[in-house]
Amino acid sequence: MHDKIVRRRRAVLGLLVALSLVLLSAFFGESSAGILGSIQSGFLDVFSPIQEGVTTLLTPVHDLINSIDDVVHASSQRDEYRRENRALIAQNASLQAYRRDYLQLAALFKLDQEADVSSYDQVTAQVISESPSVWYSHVMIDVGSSADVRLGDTVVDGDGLVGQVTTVAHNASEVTLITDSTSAVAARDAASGTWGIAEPAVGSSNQLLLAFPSSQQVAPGDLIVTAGTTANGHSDYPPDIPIGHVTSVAAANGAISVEPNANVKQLELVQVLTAPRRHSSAPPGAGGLVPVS
Amino acid sequence: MSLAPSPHSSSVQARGIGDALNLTLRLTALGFVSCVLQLTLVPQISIFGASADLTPLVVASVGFLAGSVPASAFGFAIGLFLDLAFVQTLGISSLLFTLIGYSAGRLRELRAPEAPLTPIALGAGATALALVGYGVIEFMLGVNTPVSFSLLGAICEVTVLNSLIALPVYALVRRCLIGALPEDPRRRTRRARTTRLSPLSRP
Repeated sequence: MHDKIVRRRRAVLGLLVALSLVLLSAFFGESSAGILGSIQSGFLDVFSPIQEGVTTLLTPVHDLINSIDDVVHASSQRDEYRRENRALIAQNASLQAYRRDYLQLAALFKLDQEADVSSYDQVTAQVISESPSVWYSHVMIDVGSSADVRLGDTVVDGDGLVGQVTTVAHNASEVTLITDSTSAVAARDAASGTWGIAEPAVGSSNQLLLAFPSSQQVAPGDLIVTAGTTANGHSDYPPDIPIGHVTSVAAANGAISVEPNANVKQLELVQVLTAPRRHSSAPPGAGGLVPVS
Repeated sequence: MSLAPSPHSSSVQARGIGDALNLTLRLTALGFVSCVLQLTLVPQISIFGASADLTPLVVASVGFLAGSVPASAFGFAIGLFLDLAFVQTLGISSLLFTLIGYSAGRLRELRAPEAPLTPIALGAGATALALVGYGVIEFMLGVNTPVSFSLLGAICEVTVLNSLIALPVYALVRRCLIGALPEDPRRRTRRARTTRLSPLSRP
């Protein structure tokens, strides 16, 4: 009985293998229009509609599985887009910074043209630190004596006067802002030409007070610019650099408030007017930046 | 003394024919459904960049469950069906699937492995044999088979993927054939061991 089973098993295997080899040999031996080729094409003719129908029937299953696959890919695509988004945000920030720098430099250039500071060398500087106090009275810039920056040089930004260099190192300088309590600037009303001193308002980090001989020739909205001269002679500041606009004129005591054009709380790029040096022997009080005692 | 077969032997013979017919019908249905799925749905589903190949898994499962003779015939039929449907060289898939079915059946008949993960190893082996064997036969026949590392990588991917789905495929095939199987191999093994270990069976 066992031998019979074994013989049958081997016979079946041998028969099937032989049949496969015969098919293989016959398929290779005949042309494409042979019997086996015809059987194959006939099988296709019969089976193709079945295949098509089953494919249509299984479309929802296929779509369901593909949707799962899509979800999986959506996850990876989301991660990829997030990475790309982060890179674009960084790139955008960089471009915004470039744009801001460009606008500031353009404003500085315009100011240079308008204020006619062509007789000065302009050194563009980056603000590297600000005064930690709320008064924003000092900032550090990244140029120093190596760029010919010297004590008393005027510092402007695209909007107007910023301050004066008060400490110089090799590659850095300290700028005392016009809002510092120790500073005062010789100024005049651009409209009326009235001359006076602009100094910080007590208790305000962003207001200047003008000490003019007469407040009657000053009106709110007037542009206040550097005078370029003082009663004692030259000012350290070139003339006609915008300082700010008059915001109010007190009727009682004639106090004139000025809001500086330069936003001293958000300085980034500034320009140091480095040359020519004038009246090096002049006393500090005769300059544009007058220490207030 | 009568030579006529007894009613008992006649019923046993009739039941045997019925079982064989039942198994044949089930295998036919299983083979047709497997081929249709392999032709229509499975290639369109890509998992980790590879598509599974159901047919070697089904043939190996049938061999492991039904034995070498039905499985080799089943493998031959499936191979022929695929060769016809894919318009490829007739006989290659038939030969490979015949050998796969026969090998799986002989494994069951000789070893009867009981490890629950046996279908996974069986599926991996069957898939690798089918894929590599097809390439080797094509190469031997002079067909310009592009043997490359990417092809080997693809074979490995399909083999791994098939290993992952081997267990559920085996369970499905078993469920399809459970009523027509000649004998449950595990039950047979347990009984054999019990018989061998029992002191009552010793002379």
